[in-house]
Amino acid sequence: MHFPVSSVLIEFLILAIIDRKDSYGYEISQTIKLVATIKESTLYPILKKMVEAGFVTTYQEEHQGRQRKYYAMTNLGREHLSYLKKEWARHSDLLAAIIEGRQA
Amino acid sequence: MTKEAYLQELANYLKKLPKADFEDSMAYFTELFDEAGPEGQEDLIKSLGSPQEAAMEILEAIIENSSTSSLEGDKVNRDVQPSSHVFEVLSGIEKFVSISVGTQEDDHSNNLPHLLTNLPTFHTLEIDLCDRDIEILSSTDENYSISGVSQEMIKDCHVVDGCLKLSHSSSSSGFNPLFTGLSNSSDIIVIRIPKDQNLKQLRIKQGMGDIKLCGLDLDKLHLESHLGDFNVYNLKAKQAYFNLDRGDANLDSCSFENSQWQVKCGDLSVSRSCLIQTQLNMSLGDAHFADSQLIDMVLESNLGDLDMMNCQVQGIRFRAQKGDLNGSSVLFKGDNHFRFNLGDIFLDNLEQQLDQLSLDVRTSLGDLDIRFAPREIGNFQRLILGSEDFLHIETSQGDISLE
Repeated sequence: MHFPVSSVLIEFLILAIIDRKDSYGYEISQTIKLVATIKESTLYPILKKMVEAGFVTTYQEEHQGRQRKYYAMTNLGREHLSYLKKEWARHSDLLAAIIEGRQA
Repeated sequence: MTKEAYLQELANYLKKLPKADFEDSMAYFTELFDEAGPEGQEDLIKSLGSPQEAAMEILEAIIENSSTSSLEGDKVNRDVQPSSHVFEVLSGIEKFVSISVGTQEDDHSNNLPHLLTNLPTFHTLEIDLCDRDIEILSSTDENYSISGVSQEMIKDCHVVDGCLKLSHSSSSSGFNPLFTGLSNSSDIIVIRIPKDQNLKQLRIKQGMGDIKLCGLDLDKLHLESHLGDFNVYNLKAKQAYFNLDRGDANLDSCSFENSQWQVKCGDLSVSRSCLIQTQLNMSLGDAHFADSQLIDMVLESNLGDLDMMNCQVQGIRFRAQKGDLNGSSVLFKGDNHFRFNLGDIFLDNLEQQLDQLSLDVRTSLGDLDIRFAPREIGNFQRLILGSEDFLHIETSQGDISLE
């Protein structure tokens, strides 16, 4: 991965992932790893922090005879996500402007 | 490594966590392995890194969190600062190890070239080398000598104003201790100092090489070492400063006054020695004390454990973040304080000292196991009622066992 991905961006991506549908640790990590070199062990504290912050909630569900921990969106998380999306749009517009040499 | 072995090792590193945190983290990792399945196991382990690395990441996050939230109201814990830099240090370990492997296997020949004898008397010795092993020993004759130095270094071996300086700068400029370490380092530099001759100052700055000191009498010792080990036998120093990054330190039959130690990744082992006024900071390694006398010591430990066997301890202040204390047949004098966060404390054989024991032992999450001899339990009452002595044992969440 050429561009480093900060933990703020990772939080953003996690929220975006579970906004579509509830997801579990392994699935989240596999998606994040498409864009970032990140260890699953680094992801764990981030997920934990997001649960503690109230952006995300968890529940257990049985899957093939064992328990899987699902992460799901909260209202607070949804609010935070829409804020992050706006910020991201602004940020990427500016980036594109600079890269393509347009006036921002 | 199999899934079971990985999880077992991880559990070992994490077992000191509060139960809920432990179970939650283990469930997360177990689930990852389950999802990855047997075919994805290898990739997953590659991605996770070693169990130790994974554990450190979790511990770092939890210790950071706990210092600001759940343990805030806990007075025992209040001024114990988690030092997160330790974890950064740790993540660098493997890189260094892989570089140093090649030179550790070098065998040291006994035919030391370039022996310089009959050096003028010196009282100060300053050594600034990176990759060479050094031994400084007391000689059997009246001779100051040095062997194992290279041809270029010999040119610079002059005693000026009673000071001998050995430095690396003559053979290469702008050195990087890590990479010069890959060059030749086959010979040990041996410096001999006549027996009973005192050195006013010994300063050593090392990169990769090991250091061995034997039979010396020093006023001042200053030592900084990056990767090498540090072995000392039969040495006396009135003042000492040590900064060891990754190497271990072994002390045998030594006597130090006013010493200050920073031991980052390595272990410290002290036997048959006497340490007076010591300030010791341990980060990741363990500390072992055996048959030694420790007087006025301030000891701070982060992750490592502490063992004390047959020691006499007087006025110790010991603070530990995660390590355990295992004290067997320790004779306590004066006031001694132990403040532990996650670690357990075990002390035994205290019955002979009941009438003079002043001990203050507290942990946040660790267990306490303090044993007197059963037949002396009657003395326990006397102990509490003593005028100046005290026994204070406190834990926030751990178990206490008194026998």
